[in-house]
Amino acid sequence: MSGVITPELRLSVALVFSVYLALITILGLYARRVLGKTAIDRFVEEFYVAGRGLGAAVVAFIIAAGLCSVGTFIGGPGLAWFLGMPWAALMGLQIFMNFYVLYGMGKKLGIVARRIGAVSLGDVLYERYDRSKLVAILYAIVVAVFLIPYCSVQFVGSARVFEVMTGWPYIVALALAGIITVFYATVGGLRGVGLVLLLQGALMTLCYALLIAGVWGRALSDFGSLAAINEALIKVAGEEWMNFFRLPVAWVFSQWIIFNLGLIALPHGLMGALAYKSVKAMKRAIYIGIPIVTFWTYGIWVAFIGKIYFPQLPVPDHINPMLAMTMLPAGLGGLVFAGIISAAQSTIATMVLVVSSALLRHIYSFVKPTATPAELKRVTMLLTLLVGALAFILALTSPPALEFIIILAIGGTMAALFWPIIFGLYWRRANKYGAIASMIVGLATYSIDKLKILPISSVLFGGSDPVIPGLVFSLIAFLIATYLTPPPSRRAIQLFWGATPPED
Amino acid sequence: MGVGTNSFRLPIEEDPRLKRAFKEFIVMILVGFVLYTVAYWSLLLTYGSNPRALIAGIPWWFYTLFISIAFAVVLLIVTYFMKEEPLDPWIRGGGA
Repeated sequence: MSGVITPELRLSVALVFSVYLALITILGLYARRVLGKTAIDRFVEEFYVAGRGLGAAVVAFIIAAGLCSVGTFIGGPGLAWFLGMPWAALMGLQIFMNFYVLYGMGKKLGIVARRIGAVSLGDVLYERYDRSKLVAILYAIVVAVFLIPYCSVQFVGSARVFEVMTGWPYIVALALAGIITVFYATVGGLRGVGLVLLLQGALMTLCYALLIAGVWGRALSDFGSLAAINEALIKVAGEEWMNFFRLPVAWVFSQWIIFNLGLIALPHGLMGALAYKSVKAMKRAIYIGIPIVTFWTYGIWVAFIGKIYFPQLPVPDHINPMLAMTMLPAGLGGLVFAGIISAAQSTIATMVLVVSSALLRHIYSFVKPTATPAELKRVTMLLTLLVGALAFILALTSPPALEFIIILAIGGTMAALFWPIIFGLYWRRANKYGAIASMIVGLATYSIDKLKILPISSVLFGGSDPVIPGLVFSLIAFLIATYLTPPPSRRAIQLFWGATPPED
Repeated sequence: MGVGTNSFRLPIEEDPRLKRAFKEFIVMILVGFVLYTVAYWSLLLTYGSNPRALIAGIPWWFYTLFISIAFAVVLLIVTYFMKEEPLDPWIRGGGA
């Protein structure tokens, strides 16, 4: 791959990246000024949910960019290039994420969050399940265990692209991409992250606009029609590669579930539903989000078409950087690179806030319930810094299987949190015992299957991803435990369904 | 009032905004997930095993994009009709 890197490309990448870093540093500092003016007793709410005053574009990008991550810009294209049709034909799987999160969950979460002063999904679960500390602690554990490695994967993915495109050492790339991200998340909170997201969202869109123009333009010019491109793909990669049913349907369909409906169980995506300022802004965030995510996701087809030009690559994840370097003018490669880095940083920043809020509210606050607002402010920033630093340190190990860790993280979070979130919001009878049983059974089933201790998915679910047995068994556990134990308190019902506040 | 009391079964005055939120959730599941999945996977199951299949001269897999765009338009219209209402915590008896 390094053979095609020209000095012009390296220069353009370094130049664009420097400008990009300077801009996001300025935005982070601006957010810090806003945060500095916040009254100390409102600091935590301002830091984690930007005072519930975010507008449409920022909310749209918190969800879209936060959930799309390097998976849409590096890992997904790599899979489309490697697996062929079984992945390329699934591009519609994640495009309605903004609709799911905001239309399906947004109004309820927005109103309830204002009632209970929630700054994270964990706060919502804690109040819904009768202030069960076990529910809250399990939530914090799930979030920390799965999302910190997910964060580190984003660091690694962006550093590897950086290393390939500039020739700079991995550690330098990692330090540059990582330190700035942790900086603006720590000093700016969600407002800082949101401001930077506007820039990052624009760069991510530009990234695929350039790649689509370059790759599809070249393919149509070379072959003349879509049917001829299809024939060229068959000729280069073979009929089997172009057969959607090459892989077990159960596995492919489980990916559809994970990246489609499963996205509503990811706490960093749901942050947008806690922070929007009005229903009007929320609706606009859907109007913005659906077309943008559709564009990014179907942009992955450039990697599928890229098989014609690069039938062999040492690492599938290199396909998008490779296309950028060979099919675009040198000056534009840097913009594609900035788009890819943006995808990683946007996800890291939102995840760092989610994990730090979980640790603050459900570990630190339980240990020290008498903490003063000044202490909470100090601990909030310290925890955010620590979580970012931990993800960064994990990234130093440079794990080889990035996509494995991403699917593991999303699957584990889903298996543990999906039913407690859905039933907590929309089923009155759901109680804390059901939620606890569901989280434990979901996690255990998923882990046992994923670690191949028991081949549950292959024996009972036709070779699906382990997340499917995780979801099925956690659902059963939820229902059984709920019906065998007393219903939730009237207070919880009043908070989540009532028109007037509970008496206490 | 604590956990496990029969107070759960006592009627409460429901917040109409939250009732609507549940209806919106059902619409999301039915239109955004179930109908979309049925339409999308019908195409996959019909043409997925034939790499050379063309529909009106266009490779079959391109129609996944057309289905996605059609549903995107439907969901944007559905969103347009979502009621815009205040987000005050309580309808009565509580501060905003």
